[in-house]
Amino acid sequence: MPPSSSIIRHNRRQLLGWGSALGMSGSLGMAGALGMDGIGLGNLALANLLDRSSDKATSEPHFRPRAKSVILLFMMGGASHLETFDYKPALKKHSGKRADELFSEKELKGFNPEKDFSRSRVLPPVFPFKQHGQSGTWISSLFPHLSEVVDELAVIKSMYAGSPIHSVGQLMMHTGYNRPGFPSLGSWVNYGLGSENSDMPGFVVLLDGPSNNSSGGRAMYHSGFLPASHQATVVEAGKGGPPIPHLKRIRELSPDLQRRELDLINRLNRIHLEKNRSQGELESRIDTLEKAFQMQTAAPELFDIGQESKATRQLYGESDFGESCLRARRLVEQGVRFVEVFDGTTGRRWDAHGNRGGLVRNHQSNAARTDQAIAGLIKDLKSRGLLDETLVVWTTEFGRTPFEEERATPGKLGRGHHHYGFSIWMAGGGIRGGTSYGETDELGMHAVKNRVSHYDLHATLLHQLGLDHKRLTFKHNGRQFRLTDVEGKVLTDLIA
Amino acid sequence: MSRQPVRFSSPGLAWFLMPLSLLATDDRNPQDPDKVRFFENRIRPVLIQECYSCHSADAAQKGNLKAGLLVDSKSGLLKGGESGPALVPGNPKTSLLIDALRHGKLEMPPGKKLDERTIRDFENWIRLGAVDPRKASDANGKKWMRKQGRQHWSYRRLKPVSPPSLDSDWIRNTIDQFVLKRMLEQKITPARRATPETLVRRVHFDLLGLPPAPEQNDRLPGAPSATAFSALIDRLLESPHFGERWGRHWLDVARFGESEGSNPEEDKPRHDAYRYRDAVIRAFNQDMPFDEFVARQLSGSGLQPSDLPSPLAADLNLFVRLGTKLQRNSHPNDKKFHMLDDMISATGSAFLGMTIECARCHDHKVDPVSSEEYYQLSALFFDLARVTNQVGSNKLPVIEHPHLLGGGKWQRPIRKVTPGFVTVLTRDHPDFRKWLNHAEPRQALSRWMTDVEDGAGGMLARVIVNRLWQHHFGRGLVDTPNDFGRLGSPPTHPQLLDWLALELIKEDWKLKPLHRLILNSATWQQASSDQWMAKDSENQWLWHYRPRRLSAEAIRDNLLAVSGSLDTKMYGPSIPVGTNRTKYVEKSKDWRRSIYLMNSRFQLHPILKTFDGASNFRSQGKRGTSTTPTSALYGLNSKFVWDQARLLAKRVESSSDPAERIESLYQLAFARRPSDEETLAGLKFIESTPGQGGISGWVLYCHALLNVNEFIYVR
Repeated sequence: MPPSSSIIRHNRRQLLGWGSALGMSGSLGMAGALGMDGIGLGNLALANLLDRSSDKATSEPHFRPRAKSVILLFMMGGASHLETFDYKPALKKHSGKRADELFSEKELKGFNPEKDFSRSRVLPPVFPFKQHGQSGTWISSLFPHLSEVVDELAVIKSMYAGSPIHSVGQLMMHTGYNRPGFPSLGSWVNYGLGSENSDMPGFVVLLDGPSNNSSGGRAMYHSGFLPASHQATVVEAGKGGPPIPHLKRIRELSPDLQRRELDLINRLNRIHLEKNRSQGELESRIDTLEKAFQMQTAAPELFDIGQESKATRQLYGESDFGESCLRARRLVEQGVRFVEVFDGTTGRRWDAHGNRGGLVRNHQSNAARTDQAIAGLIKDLKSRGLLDETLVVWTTEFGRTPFEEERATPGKLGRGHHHYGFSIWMAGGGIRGGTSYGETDELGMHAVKNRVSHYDLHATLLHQLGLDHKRLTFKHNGRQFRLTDVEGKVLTDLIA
Repeated sequence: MSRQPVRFSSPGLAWFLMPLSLLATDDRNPQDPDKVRFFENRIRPVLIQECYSCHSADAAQKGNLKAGLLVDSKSGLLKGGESGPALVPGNPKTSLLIDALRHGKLEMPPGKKLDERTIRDFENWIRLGAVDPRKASDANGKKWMRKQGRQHWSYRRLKPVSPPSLDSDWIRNTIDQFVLKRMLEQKITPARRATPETLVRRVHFDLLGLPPAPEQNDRLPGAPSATAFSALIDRLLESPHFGERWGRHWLDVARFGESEGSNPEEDKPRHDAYRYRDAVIRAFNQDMPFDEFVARQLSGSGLQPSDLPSPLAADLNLFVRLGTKLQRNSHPNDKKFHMLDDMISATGSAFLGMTIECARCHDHKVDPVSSEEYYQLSALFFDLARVTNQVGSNKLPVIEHPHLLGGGKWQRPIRKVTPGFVTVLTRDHPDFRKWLNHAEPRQALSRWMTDVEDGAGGMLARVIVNRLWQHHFGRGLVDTPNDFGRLGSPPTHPQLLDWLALELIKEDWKLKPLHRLILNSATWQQASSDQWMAKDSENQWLWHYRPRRLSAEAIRDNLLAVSGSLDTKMYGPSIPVGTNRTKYVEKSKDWRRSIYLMNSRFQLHPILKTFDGASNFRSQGKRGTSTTPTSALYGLNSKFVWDQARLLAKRVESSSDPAERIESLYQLAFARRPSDEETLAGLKFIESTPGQGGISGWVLYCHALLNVNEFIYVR
C-alpha cells in the first residue's frame, strides 16, 4: 500500500457542502459583493473558500510545466566550491603565492569590504577530486554517495552572488532582494500555482534545529507583500513529538464535533469580516483555519516516517537531515509545492573560517551528515518515478575564497566568504542531468564563462514549473514586483 | 524630442525625490538649475560610487586609472579615453558610456550591470544635454557624498512648525489639523468616529494590553461623550498595567533577552535581566521624562549632578549589558568587539533610529557615518567590554585601548581614537568638549544625545514620538522605526512628526501628555472603514483606523483575562518556560501577564513563538503578523486555550438563560453586545450540540469564541 493513500482529500466544494448543510450558505454570495479594488488581496482568499483555483496569480501555468514541485536544499554559511564541485588543479601550482601577486588590488578589495585578502596566500583544494559517472563530472571525495548519482545532476560552476555577507546572500538567494520584506521563492511559487493538496500548506520549511538563528532569519521564508496565506509553514526538527506543534486534537473531541465548532467559527468570522473588509489578513486567517483543520488528519501521516520501509529509511542514513529529506519526499509526493530543507539554521554551519573549527573538519562533518541523505533523496525520487516532476536544488549563499585566511587559530585552515564565483546544482524536474555548466577562472576566483546569478536561477526554477518569471508579478505600493526584479534569464542549456 | 518617463534610480537613492515635470522643461540654458539637480541627485552619486575607483584623478594618482578615462569632470567625459569620447550630449544612442553601462561592446562597471532605472537615468541625462556643473576634477567624491547626506530630512535640525490652519468640525486637536491637511491633498476624507464600545475596547488594548472589564462597558452607555472618554484615557494612563504594555514595546527595541544567546546548546541564562524589565515598567508608569530614561539606561549617573543614584537607575543601566555574547571559546578580541558592536548598534537603533553598526568595517555606504565615528563611539563604551584573556589554556593578547580598526578587524588596528559622537547629528563645527568635560563616558554620551540645541536631541525626540505613533496606529509616521536614515522610509507627515517631537520637548520629555494628545485626536478615534482602500490600503494617510491583530503577549493576556484566570501580580523573576532539553508544560501558577514569561534567546513560550513575539537578538522596531496554520492549530488544539475555554464557560454558568449567557460571553470576549444573528447562531449551536467526553456544548461554544478573528483583533 502506498504510504499515504488513506489521506482523505477534500476539495473546497465538499467542505462547503458541509457548511451549507449547517445553514452557512447565506454569506457566501459575499465574494462577488465584496468587489474590491485592484490591490489583489481583497477577494482572493474569500473566493478561495469557494474555489481553490483563484488563490493564485494564474489559474493555469504560463506554459507546459516540466516539474510539479521543488525541494530546495540550502547549505547555510557558504559551502566551498573549491572543496566540492569546482576542481582547480592550478591552485596547487600557485599554492602559497600571495593574493596580490595574482590579482589586482581592486579585485581583492572589491569583493569583500570587510576583509583585505591582499596578503592572503593561495590555498589548494584540501580534498582530492575525481571524475564520476558517464558524464565524468568532477566531485571531491567529500560526497561519495552523491557521486553515485552524478549523472542526474546539472552542476552550475559559474554562480555569482550579490554580497559576501551571510544575511544579504541568504536573503538574495531566497527573495532576490538584499533586505528583508520581500516574498520568498516558495511563496512566489505558491502564489503562481497554488497547492496541489488543499489539506496541506503549499510551502513547508524544515529547519534542522529548535529555532532559526541564522543571519537571514525568518525573512528568508516570509511571504513579504504577497497574501499572507503563502507564508511558509515552519517545521522544527527535533527528537520526538509531532513535527508541527499542536497538531493533535484533544482526546475528548471527536472530529465531527470539531467540524461543528469550525463551522461556527467560520460563520462568526464571516459576520466579522463584513464589518472589516479592509483587512486582507482576516480573510487569509479564515482560509488558514480550514487548512489547519485538514492538516490534523493529513500531516501526522505525512510526517510519520515510521511508515517507510526499513530499506527506504536506510537509504537516507541516520541523521536529522536525512529524516528531513525523507519528509520532504513524502510532502512533495502528496502535492506540497515547495519544500525547503535547511542545513545549519542554528548557525552558519558551512562557514569554514580558520577560527571556526577549520575548513577540513567543518566540511567533512557537514558532508558526512548530508551526503547520504541527499543521494538517498535522489535515488528514492527516481525509483518512485518522482524525479521527473520534482526539481531538486542544492544551493548555498556564496562560495569561498581561493586563499587561506589569516586567522588567529594556528593549525587550522580556513577560507573567507566569496561571492564572485561558486557552485550549486540542480537535478530532476526536467533538468538535463550529467551536465556541468559555466566556469570560473583557473583559480576559482571569478565566474567567467556562462555566468549565472540568483535571478537566473530563480527564472529557471520558475520556468520548470511552467511560470514565466517576467509575467509572475504582484502589484505592491504602486509597482509591479517580480521575484527576478528586472533581471533573470532562463538557463535553457540546462533543460532536458 | 522624446521624453521617457524617469523613475527613481536605485533604492538607495530613493530619497532624492523630485517632481518629474521639472525634467521635461526644455530649457536651452545648459546650467538649468533643475538639470543640475538631476545631475547631483541621480548621476553624480552613481559616478562616485561605481566609476571613480578606476576613472578619476584620484585613481590616476594611485595608479589605478583604467583606459585613460576620467569621469570625475565634465571635460574628462567629453574628451574620453582610449576608446574615444565617453558621451555625446543630446545623443545617448551614440554615447559610449551608455553602451558600456548596457554591457555592449564594453562592460561597465565590470562584472556588475547597474539596474535598468539607473541606466535610464543616464540616458535621460545625456538626452537632456548632459548638464554637468563639475569643472576641475571632483577630487573629493566621498566628502561630497557626506555633505549630500546631511541634507537628508532626519539629519536636519528641528525647527518650530506652525500647524496648518484649517476649519473643520472634524478637528479635535492640533494633530487633526496636520492629518486632515494631508488627506485633503490626497483628495480623501476621514472615516466617521468609532462607536463608544469600539473605542473602549480599542483604548484598553492600546494602553494596557488587556480587555475592558465587563463593568467598564456599562459605564459609557449610549452617546459618545468626549469628556467621558477623555476621563477614561486619563484613568487608564494611571493604571499600573500601562507600564506592562508600553514597557514591553520598549523591551523589543532594547533587544531584551534573558540569556546570552551564543548558541542554542549552551544558552546561559541571565538571572538578573528581569530587573531591567521591572525598571522599564516602573519608569513608564511613573512617566519618567524620556531624556532621563535614556540617560539612566546608558549611564548609572544620569544627566545632572543632582540625579542621585537609585536602585531604579542602576537597573535601567543594565541596558548596556543586555546584548548577546559570542561563544565561550571565541577569541577574546572577537568577544570584546562583538560586545562593543552590540552596544553601539542597540544605542543607534533604539535611541537614534540609525544603523551606525554599518560603519564597523567601512564608512557607512548610505548614511553619513564614518568608520572613524563608529570607533569614537566605541571609545565611549570601551571600559564596559571587559573580557578575560584566558581561552582554555591559552593566554591571548587583548586590545586595551580604543582603536580605529581596518576593515573591522582587530588584527588591523590603525590608530588610537578618543571618544566622539556622530557628527551629522551635531550642530556644525562641533566641539565635543561641551559634553565630554568632567563626565564619565556614557554620561557624556547621554548629554550629547539629549541635547536638543547642539546634539542629537532632535533625532532622539523624533524617533521616540514615532514609536508612540506606531503603537497607537499600527504604523509609524516613519514606517521604518529603527532606520531614519536614507534607506528608511521618509515620513508621511514630516511636519506632524516634528511638531510632536517639539511638543515632547516642551512637556519636559514626558510621554503621557503625548499619549493623551494622540488618543484624544479625531484621527485616532476614527472607525475602521474600507472607503479609500483602493487609494491607500496601507492607511498611510490615516483616513481610518486600520484593524490590527493583537501582539503575542496581548493574545495570551486576553485569553487569561477573559476566562477570569489572570493573576495580575507584578514584577519579579521571570516565569520559566523550559529549556532546550526540558519541555515546557503550562501550569496555572504561570498565568500572569506575558511580559513576565522568561525571555530566553532560544526558548520562548509557545504563544510568543507562534504569534510573532520579539526576536530579542537585536533591537526590533516592528513586529510581523504572520498567518500560518501553526497559529490556527495553537488555537484549536493547545491545552492552554482549552483550559481557558472551560474556565470561561464556568464564569458565565450562573445565568440560566442561554441568551443571557451568550450576551455575557460577548461582553467578556468582545466588549460588545451580540447582534441578533450572532445570538441566534449561538443558540442554535448550543441546542444542536450535545456534550461529549467532558466537553459540554457551552465549553465548545466558548472555545469557538476564543478562536474567532475578532478575539485577536482590535478595530
